[in-house]
Amino acid sequence: MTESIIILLAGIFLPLFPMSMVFNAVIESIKHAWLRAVLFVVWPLCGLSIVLYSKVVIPAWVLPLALTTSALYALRMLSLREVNQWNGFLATSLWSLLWLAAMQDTSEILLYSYALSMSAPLVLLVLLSAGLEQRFGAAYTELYSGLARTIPRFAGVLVTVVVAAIATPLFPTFFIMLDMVVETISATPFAAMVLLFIWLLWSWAGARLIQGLIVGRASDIKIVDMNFTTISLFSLVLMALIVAGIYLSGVIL
Amino acid sequence: MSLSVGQRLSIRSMIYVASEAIPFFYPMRTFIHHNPLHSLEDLPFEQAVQEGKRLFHGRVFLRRQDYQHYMEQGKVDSQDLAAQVAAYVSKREPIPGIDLQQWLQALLTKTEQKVVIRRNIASTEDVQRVINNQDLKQEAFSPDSLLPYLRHELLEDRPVYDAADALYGTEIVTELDELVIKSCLDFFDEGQSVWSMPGRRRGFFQAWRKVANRNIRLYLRGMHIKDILAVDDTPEGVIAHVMNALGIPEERWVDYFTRELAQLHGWSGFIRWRWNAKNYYWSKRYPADLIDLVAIRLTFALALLSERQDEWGFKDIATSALELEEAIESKTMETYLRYELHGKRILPAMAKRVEQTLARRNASQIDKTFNEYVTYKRQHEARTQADRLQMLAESINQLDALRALSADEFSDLLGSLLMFEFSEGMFWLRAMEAHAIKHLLTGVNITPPEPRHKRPFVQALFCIDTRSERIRRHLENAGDYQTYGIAGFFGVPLSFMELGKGSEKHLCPVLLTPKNLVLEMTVADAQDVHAVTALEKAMHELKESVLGPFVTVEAIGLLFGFDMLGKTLMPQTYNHWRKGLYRKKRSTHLLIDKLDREQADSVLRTVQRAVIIMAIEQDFGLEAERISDDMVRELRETALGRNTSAPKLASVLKLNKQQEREFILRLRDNYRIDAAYTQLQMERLARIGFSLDEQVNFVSQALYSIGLTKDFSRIILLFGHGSTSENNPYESALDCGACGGNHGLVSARVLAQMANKKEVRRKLLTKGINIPDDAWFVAALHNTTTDELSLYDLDHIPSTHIFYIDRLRNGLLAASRLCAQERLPTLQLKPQPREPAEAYREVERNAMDWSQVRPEWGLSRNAYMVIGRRSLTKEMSLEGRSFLHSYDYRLDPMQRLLENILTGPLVVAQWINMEHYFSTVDNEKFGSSSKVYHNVAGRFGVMTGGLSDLRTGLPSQTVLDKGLPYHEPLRLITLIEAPLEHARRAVESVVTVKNLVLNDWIRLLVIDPEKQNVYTYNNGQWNAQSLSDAHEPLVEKEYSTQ
Amino acid sequence: MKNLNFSSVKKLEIIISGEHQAYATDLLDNAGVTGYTIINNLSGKGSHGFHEGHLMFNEDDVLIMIIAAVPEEIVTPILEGLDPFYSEHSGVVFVSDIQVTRAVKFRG
Repeated sequence: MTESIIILLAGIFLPLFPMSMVFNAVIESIKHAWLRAVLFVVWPLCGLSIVLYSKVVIPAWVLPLALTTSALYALRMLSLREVNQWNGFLATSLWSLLWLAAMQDTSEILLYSYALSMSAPLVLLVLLSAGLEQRFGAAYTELYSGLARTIPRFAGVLVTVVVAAIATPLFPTFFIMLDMVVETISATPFAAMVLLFIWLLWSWAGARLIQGLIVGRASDIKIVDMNFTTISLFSLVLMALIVAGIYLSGVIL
Repeated sequence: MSLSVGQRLSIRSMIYVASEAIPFFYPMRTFIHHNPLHSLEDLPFEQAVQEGKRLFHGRVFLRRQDYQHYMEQGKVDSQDLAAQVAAYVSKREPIPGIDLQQWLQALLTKTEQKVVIRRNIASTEDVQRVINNQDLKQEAFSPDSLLPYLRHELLEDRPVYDAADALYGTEIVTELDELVIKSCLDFFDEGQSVWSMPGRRRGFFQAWRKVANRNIRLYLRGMHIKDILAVDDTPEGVIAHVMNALGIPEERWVDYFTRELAQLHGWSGFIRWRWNAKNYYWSKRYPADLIDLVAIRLTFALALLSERQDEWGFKDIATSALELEEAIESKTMETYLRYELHGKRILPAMAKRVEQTLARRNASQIDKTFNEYVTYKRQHEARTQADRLQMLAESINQLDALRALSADEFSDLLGSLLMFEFSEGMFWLRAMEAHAIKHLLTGVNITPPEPRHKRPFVQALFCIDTRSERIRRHLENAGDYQTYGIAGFFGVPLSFMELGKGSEKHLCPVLLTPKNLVLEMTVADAQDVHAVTALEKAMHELKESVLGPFVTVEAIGLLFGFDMLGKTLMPQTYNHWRKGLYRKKRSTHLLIDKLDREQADSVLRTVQRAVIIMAIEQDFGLEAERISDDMVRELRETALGRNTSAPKLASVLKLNKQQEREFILRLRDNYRIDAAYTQLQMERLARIGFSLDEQVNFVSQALYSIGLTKDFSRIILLFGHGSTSENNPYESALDCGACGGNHGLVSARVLAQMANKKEVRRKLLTKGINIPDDAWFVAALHNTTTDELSLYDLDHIPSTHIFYIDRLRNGLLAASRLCAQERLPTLQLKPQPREPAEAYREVERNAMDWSQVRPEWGLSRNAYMVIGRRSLTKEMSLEGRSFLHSYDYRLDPMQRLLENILTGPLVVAQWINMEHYFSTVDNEKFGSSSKVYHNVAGRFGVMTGGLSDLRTGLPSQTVLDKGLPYHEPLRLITLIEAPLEHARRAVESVVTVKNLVLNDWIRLLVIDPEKQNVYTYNNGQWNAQSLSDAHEPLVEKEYSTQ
Repeated sequence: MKNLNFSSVKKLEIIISGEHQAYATDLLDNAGVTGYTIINNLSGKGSHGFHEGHLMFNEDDVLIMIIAAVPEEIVTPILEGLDPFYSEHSGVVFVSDIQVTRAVKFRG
């Protein structure tokens, strides 16, 4: 009995539907970008701590629920236009898959690093959408297009971050996903199929997001592009992520 | 529901009238420069461009920043601009404390963005309050005030599905366009695809209908095309059905059709052209017209709308004009919010709120959000407008004056600014033209040329093309050369059949249909070149077969790889080497004289005999040696019905009567050796060549029109021009427009041949032209990409002239090199000076490099057309920007020659000028954007990406340089050297040109060499000034009388 | 002498600018008209002013007249069909009664 309660509690932080709605509601209500960024880092760690500290044995029904949550949010992402909402949904979708990793007897330290590497690009995206809000008033696709023309540096960073977030190599999330698929394919092939499907949905949603912001006819209004310091910082973090990804690949595979 | 005949015909007419606004799209094999707003030339330029903007949603002037950029470069006449502003100001009510002239000047020169923005919610009073740092009045905003706005935006001038897209984000337009384009690509393919659409012979609509009825994909998507198509067999019936279902009243049908056609104006233009080109092979075979297109488009539109409605289900979207009206009337707030959101106008900060509210569809919440949004927007609009006004005011220290205005005065000021910005483009355009006119007038030389003592070494006739201007200058400097300008087809419209080709090319402006056919024949014995050309053909066809790629890559893939490496890494060397592999083209002879009956008979006989021999070889495998002449003659006579049997063949092959008869029948049906067809061919043969009188007339006309009737030099060169480039669908655009998009060599050869004939020269004497016996016309070609000047048909030249050829060749080479040297900096990434010989080598590379998107600039930067003697412009460099037509008014007392020049070459030049103008001001809408993304469609046009409208106009690489305009968009500045009355009479008798002048499509100047005055036609009247004060145009006089 | 049978048909004379020739003949074809005659290079005066007749360099600027003999029942449909065109363009259509001897040629 207590087991279920602990799981449900953890389900707020490692999102399981319907507790997943908490996170997204919280994110929506917070206006301050840095606070949001911190939340993105801390949230799954809380969930993981609950699970690992209580040493609870994760029951079998969590698997289908986690997969369903992940798939549901991935699907919903496709029609979202507001970037912060999109980000939150992607986070939900990603973090619920951590249940699978937890069920596969992955080491503690590895689990925490999974959570961190999943969240890292999302945090960057939070900062970028703050940048969009500052320049345009809202981070919203299909309202202002042609960013590649008007603010090319920003656009470049944005594309890279989105690509990192949706589990593209050589970023860490890719290897994490790959590992999960490989692990489940022999035991529960259906789960592997669902994982691949979710992954596909992320890519599709990522493409739509980019399409709604980067390409298209540029407006004539002058927008301030990213300055040199910011772009260096972003590039540094992205580089570090790639290194982490390569390192992680060695560890996992 | 079936339509009456009258209704059907009426719909056909409506679509015809609607389609007149869509410019023709000529297949790119012969690219024709034309004015995209040609159908609007009845309107004054200023009005026409506004109408064009409405129809095609394109910019018709450059952005203010671009004009400001030109101003910095000194290309804008500031005095003229100031005068125009002053004229504008004088027509407005003065506003106390505001120096409107100063304001407007600052607006033009110092601000980059538009100052006046469009406001729907905030009132002028609100703006004023913000400027004065006061709060906005708290007033309730009634949604009814938005009704006119919504009606205008959604109901007028907008197809129903487009309005639905703007309200519900249904993205019907993109899908509709895609479906229509796919249908077009399927039907209009001209041999590019290997599998073709079935049933095309029945016509576009019928063939499409058959396929669409069975299209499972469409059916699965829930698009019930079948139901719509079941209503009527005819396209007109379907159109009527859909239009009624959409609820469009009949009086608005024509405008609606125009809008539909303009959406994909490339394809519409192509179908329109194709239907008009009755002799076009594909048009005859697979007929299609715009009624079909509209029917297909409307069917898809209705199907998509219904499908979306089913999809949205309970959310009930408006899918007809009536439903739209109802939505606007009864659910105004919701409709407004929807339009803001999906019409991409929404203020970002409230985007998510609005989206969520609309998703929930709760009436009270919509009400609340609406009011919030409107308040927010009101603030935003007032703030934005106030900011822009303030910035402008501050830049001229008039902020206090602005704040001091009363409500009415403020409103006046905004009104004046708004109207000014609306007509701003014309002001800039006129100012730029004023500068260009000044530049021209300061350079012209009115003093008549000194009479010559000896004949020039060589006289050369070039096309009026702007690229000739450069080479003419350099040639004149290279020695004692005299050059003339004449239309590129030398005034001889002809249809040309090249050696070995089966089709004719029209070598004349598209406005004409040539009546004479010229054949190219070999001089030497016919040797079989089939082997080499067959290999060529096979290699290309292998690329096209579906299975080909798999086989080819294995078999000869390496060869292609080698080819690609060579072309890419060492274009020049490789191309030279490769050309050597092909058999050199044999020297040919042009048949330009009419055949007499005997000759025609003989030709036909020869051809038929060759065909019969081939038939025997094919059908029976008999070797050539065993086929005797008698046998062939017998067969021929039998096939033509003059004999009853052909025993000779039968005996050799041991055929029985039946087989013999069958062969004869095959000869008649398959090989067309029969009496009726023979008659037809004789008629066709009668088209060949020109009669002696025709030849005399053409030569005389050509020489008179350029003013060359005496003092002929020993050698007279006729330069046609053409271009060379690799991998360039726009290749034909760089060739000669006067020759219908082909090169001009053939026309040159024809005229040269005519002018060299003794009989022609004898008759020319009666017309007052005395060509001395030692004068010889030589055809030549100017390659505008490499500036190479090559001579042709030298084997006919009299031996006395051989000595001069060497000197001539040296002169030509020098001119080529110097011209290349002048041109090269414009083509380099970073202009670096080069020696002439080096430059000449470098430009040659452009012609061979398949990655070169800009082999030459072509006609970009064209601005002037000068009709007059060369002495007028000889001293100045026009930088390759001018069309030059030689003309001597003294030889033309009845203005007939001038009329000819106006009605032909001038119109062609205007078309070229307008094509460049619109492709420059909006390369996305009127031009074809970047060549890099072009894909050839069906062999006649290009699309951007995988699926798009057929691109019209010029690509960005032709008119833009690094994103900024390279071509200066100006209207053609036409200068005629003749007495004013003379020029006026000529212009007035040519209706087209008269309209162009009256409606300001061209800027007309007349230089009167006798009175030494220049007359400028401006705003309906002629302004005179003496040539010596030409650099101080009387601007006050020009603009004050309005 | 053979007996000639006269039948009544209507004659249409369509005066139109040369550039619209294809449109007009297409319309007549669609209406089921069996044949027509075209006269070129006309000059005349209309609400737009006097129109010069001589053949230009440009063949589109001339007036032409298309004459067709048609059965009575298709006169109204043809006029109905031409109506949207003539609302925007200059030219006229004359309808008159004529008689022909070989009626079969004119009935589609």
